[in-house]
Amino acid sequence: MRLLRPRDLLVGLAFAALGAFVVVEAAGLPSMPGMGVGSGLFPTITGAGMIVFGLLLALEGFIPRAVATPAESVRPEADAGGEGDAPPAPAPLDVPFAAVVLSGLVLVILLVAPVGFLLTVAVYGAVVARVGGAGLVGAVLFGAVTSAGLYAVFVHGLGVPLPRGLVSF
Amino acid sequence: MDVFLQALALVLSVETLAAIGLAAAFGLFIGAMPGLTATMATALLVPVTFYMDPVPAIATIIACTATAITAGDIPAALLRIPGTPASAAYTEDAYGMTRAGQGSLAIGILISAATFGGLFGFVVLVIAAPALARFSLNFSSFEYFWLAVLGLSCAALVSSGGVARGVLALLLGLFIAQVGLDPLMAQPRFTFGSAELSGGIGFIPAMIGMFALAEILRSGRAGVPMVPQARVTNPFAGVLGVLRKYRLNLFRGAAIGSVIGALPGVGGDLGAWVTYSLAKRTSKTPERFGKGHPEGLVEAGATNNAALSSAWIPATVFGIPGDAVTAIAVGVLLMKGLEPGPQLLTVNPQNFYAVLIVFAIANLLLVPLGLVAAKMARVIFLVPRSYLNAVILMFCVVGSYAINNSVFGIVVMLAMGIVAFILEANRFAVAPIILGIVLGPLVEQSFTTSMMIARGDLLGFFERPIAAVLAVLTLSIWSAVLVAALVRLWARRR
Repeated sequence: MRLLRPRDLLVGLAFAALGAFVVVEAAGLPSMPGMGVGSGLFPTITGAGMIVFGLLLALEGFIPRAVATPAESVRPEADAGGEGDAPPAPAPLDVPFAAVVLSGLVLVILLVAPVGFLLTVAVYGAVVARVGGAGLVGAVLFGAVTSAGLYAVFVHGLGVPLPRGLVSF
Repeated sequence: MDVFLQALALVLSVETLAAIGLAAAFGLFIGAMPGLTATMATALLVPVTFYMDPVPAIATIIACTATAITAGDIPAALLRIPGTPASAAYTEDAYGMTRAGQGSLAIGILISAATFGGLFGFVVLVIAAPALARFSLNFSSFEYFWLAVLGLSCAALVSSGGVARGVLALLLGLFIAQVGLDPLMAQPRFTFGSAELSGGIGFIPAMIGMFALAEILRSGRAGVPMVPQARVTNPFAGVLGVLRKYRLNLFRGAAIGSVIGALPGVGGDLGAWVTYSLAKRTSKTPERFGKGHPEGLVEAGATNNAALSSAWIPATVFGIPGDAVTAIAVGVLLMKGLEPGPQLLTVNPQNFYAVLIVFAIANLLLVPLGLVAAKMARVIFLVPRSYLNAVILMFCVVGSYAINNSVFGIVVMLAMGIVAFILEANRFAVAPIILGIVLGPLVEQSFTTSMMIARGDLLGFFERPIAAVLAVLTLSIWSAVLVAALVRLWARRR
């Protein structure tokens, strides 16, 4: 048997490992005396399912994919479970952009409480816009105005106590 | 009658009407923007609904969804970029009409068929939901368990990534729903001693991460040819003639869409593909399909919104959403204390009828708002992607923070966004995860309650007649799918 899709194998094994973890953790949860059910019953079923289907997916990595028949090709690429669930054609990740977006979010998490929403989110928005191709002045103005707008709507309009930090109004 | 008047008063309040108008405009903009989906628009609006009364909150979700899905047809027709998976079914025909100088007519057909389909689905909802609710008043935990499992099974098994991926996505959602205190004994599960995790993983930050952040990561900075080559004039000129010519397709599309949308766990996207395919098979001119022929647009366009309306039947009557958008809506209903189920129609019927009235208004609004969106398409398409990405991300931050006024919400949003991006890059579907998160507590509670009633005897799950029918149906679907998968596997090995 030859490995045709290493990613199927890896993802399948990752799910199986998660399932094993869930089953082991669930085994330590208490049961209701005399009832046969407990906190761990449903997680055990979930974990067992992950192990079985994770191993099946791993196995699929060794099996050639079927060529779509004309009838099958009518089927949506997106599935029927809802529009957000369309498995897209694998597109190359825009690494610099993704790095800015994700590391920026980590910084927002760390700084939003001490520095405040207004300043942190303004800088984040400006940096994302700039990296996306906006001009420097436009990006800075955009970040400041949008952050102030969101702050005004959520704090003064909806009464949400966003972190005030260094700058607020 | 009194109930209907109360419902009307709820809908005709300034707050509800303003919510409908603003949400519809927002949905229209996001839906018409190539690459941004209706689910994303809805997910971004949920944090705002947190601070509204129940009826305006649900009205916001309905109006946004209906307009975003219809607006998704505009880039399909003008740019050959489908706004939703459903509109992908007929994109070739819509764009073919645009290339033949009939882009306005294509948009007009799609908007009109969607309006008709939406109103048809609304009538089905009005008739079917109360009847089903009365029927389901005698449901016990056994029936709810099998119904939820049936819905989840359908969602996972029709997933295009394959059975294994669909089921794994669903199990992941169920696992996420288990984090926190368990509903039976209030024991902390998978919390690692964290006080924040004891409260569970918030559905809203998770959903924002999976739909909005993952989508931004996926689309990146990449630009698409944004400027359509066709100018949109009056999209409704000549539409009536086309609809009259293909009236059978119009009614059939709406009827089939209503049935498919009402199936728990199936959702509406499949409907447009089914009816487009049916229209082609039964057409006198099947060779013209895919080249700018309006017949498929009429049938599949009507299916789209009919399914959208009828998907609310299982969502409101049983609390079993059909797709990601109704899963979000069920989440909002729960958040507002309007627990879906027959009680929604019996205890507070004015709220249920208000939801119905909002459906009618949202579908009627499609005509004027669709006209505006079509006319403004060039302007909408020219909004720079750099600013759009930034504003969506800023909204993600404030939305996931605002739910619990906690930075932990942003952490959940970030983590779920990364997970969803990785899974989608490996051909996993996200909707089963969301359905798993939303339905997880219901499935677990009905399962453990049933186990206690049956004293651990699994045969007890088959003793009540309706539960037995649902169980047989669920197990038959699983058997059929697994046998088909084994046969395919065997054929490939040979």
